[in-house]
Amino acid sequence: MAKPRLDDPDLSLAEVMTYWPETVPVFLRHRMLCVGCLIGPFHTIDDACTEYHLDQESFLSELFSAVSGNG
Amino acid sequence: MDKAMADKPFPRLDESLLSHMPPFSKLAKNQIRTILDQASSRRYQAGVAIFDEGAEASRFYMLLDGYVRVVRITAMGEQVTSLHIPSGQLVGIAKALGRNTYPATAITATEAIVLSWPMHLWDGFVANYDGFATETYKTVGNRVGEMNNRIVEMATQQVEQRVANALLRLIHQTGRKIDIGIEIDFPITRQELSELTATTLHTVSRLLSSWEKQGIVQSKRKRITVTDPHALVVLSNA
Repeated sequence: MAKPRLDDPDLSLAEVMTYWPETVPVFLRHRMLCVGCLIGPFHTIDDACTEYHLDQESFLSELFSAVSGNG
Repeated sequence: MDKAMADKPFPRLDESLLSHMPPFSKLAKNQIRTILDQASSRRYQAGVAIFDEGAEASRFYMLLDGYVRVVRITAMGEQVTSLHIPSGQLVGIAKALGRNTYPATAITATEAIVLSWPMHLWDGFVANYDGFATETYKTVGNRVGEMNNRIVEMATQQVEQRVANALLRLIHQTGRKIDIGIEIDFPITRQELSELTATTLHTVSRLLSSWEKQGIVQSKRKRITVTDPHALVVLSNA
């Protein structure tokens, strides 16, 4: 199966961290509980940003730069 | 408990039924055909025993659809639920545990469709079918891991965290995303939830009512929906 896109709004947090393990430090840096969370398969990046009151655009760009090796 | 009889005979089973189930996913179509031709299929109503604790383990089972509760009955006649098993998993695998009898009773939590094979075929499956043994041990490992987690929780966590964790595990394993949140996809009573978390019915009722007021869960008539999963995760870590 082709790798999904990181900015796909339907992508679950579990998928994000499975496909791009290098994003894990970004979640930890924001003291988010998402890493290893049982809700991971159900929630999206959007849901996480809502819960933690984060700006989705800047959070996504942090994820992108982690993936490209500049995180 | 009565064994449920099949409502009606099934048509010939299609290979696609098993080809995506982990224990069989590495097999060729003709191997799956052979396996299916040796299987019996049955539909069970909710709330009936597929096999009983202590009985001779004469068959092993694959849950194709539905959910199963694994329960032990204490000497005092009290039922304790030790695991919930979702579809796609093997059940009654006494042989993998080195036993001749079933270690617990399996009761359907919903209507269920189950395939079964005589236990004398087990060793042949393990020897001849690539991936069958590995997946079986993975299943056993996951179940042992889950029970270990519960022992640690009971020894170290407050009851509120235990109930929160039990709900999180149930939605992780069996959850279904719906409009208002994530619903546990099979009927579960407060009594069963209290057995799972080693607490009393009274405590579970008190917690659920208070979480309901806070908008974290909704429950009615054996159905529980987690409406604010993030809040429940925070509670479980508190």
